Amino acid sequence: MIKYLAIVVVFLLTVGCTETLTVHAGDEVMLLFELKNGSGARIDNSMQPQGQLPLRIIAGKGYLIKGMDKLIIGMKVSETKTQKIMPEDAYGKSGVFYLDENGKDKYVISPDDTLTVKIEVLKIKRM
Amino acid sequence: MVRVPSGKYKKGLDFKTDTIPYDYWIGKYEITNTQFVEFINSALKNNFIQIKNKVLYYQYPGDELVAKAFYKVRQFDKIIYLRNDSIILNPHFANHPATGVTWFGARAFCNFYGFRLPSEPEWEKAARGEKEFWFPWGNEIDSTYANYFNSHDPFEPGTTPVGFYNGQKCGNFQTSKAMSVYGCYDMAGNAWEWLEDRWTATTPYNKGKGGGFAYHTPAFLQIYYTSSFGPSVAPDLDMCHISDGFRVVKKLTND
Repeated sequence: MIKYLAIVVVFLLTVGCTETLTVHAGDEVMLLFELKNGSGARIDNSMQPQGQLPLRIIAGKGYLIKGMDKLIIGMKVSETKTQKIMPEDAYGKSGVFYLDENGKDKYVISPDDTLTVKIEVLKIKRM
Repeated sequence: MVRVPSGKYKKGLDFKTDTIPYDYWIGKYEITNTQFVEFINSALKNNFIQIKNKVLYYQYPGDELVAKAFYKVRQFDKIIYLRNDSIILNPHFANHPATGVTWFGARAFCNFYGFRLPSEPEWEKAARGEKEFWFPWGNEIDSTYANYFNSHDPFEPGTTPVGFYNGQKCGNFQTSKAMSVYGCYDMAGNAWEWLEDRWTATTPYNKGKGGGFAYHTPAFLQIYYTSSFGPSVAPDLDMCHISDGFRVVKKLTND
């Protein structure tokens, strides 16, 4: 009887210890990302000329645009998610632009553009 | 400017210890529009920069990756503009950081006055010294500390005056004292700041740190983070991004 009980305890402990950690608000998270505008053009990502540079954030605390901050909640380490982000959860009516050769606004993200974001969680640290 | 002594500092995402073996001065603030307009006027008089087709150009002397040629300094806009061949500064933005400045424009300013742009190690050491800080003042951030996307400061959606986040109140808006370890302001938020460093030894794009008021959220304002906006989006070396500005550096010994 004691032998069976021990097996059950070991089993429960093992399952408990391997329970997958998911991102909660307030967790420190390392992630990779890619952001595309409504035309499908990549506008920013973690790939830099010398390699991947992860983003370190506190989840749910406004470290990212709203849509990305919402998407990350509940994700697991090594999980990748791709999702559309509506303008109200991204850059809204302002869009993103730079100045062209005539000093005019040239949009990288048009006003009211819906973006596509891809996020991969690398690490979660419960604070 | 503030003096940064030689010695150890923490660098990058994982706070590795590194050393800078010399003292140097670094701008307490980002270069302002007033300072940049003074530069434009003096440099035009000296034929150091030129206006061609209503655009300011600097003849960069060239280096191992970039050819000697005329490159844009800064696009005229509503803040700094041309009227009857005179350079006009909108007085509302006089004490705001000069933005929309290309790397060549920043280099022209530095070369004209005998400064240079900070290297990445110089910038990081000035931002946090030996502290394991995420941001120049510590690890916390909210809209009282820095000017970033949707931070709801009184100057939204533009730049804030340099040194705005100094613990004082502006109307009903309370700021926190967001000074770096060595007393520099706006090293997180407001303008992205050009660095002397290139992305790689074979990549002609330069790095930027400490942005940015327009599109970036706090994740991108951290000291370790270096902007990839230019190389991933902008193939033109002298493209004028509305967020790009700079601060200057000078070594105490012979540079």
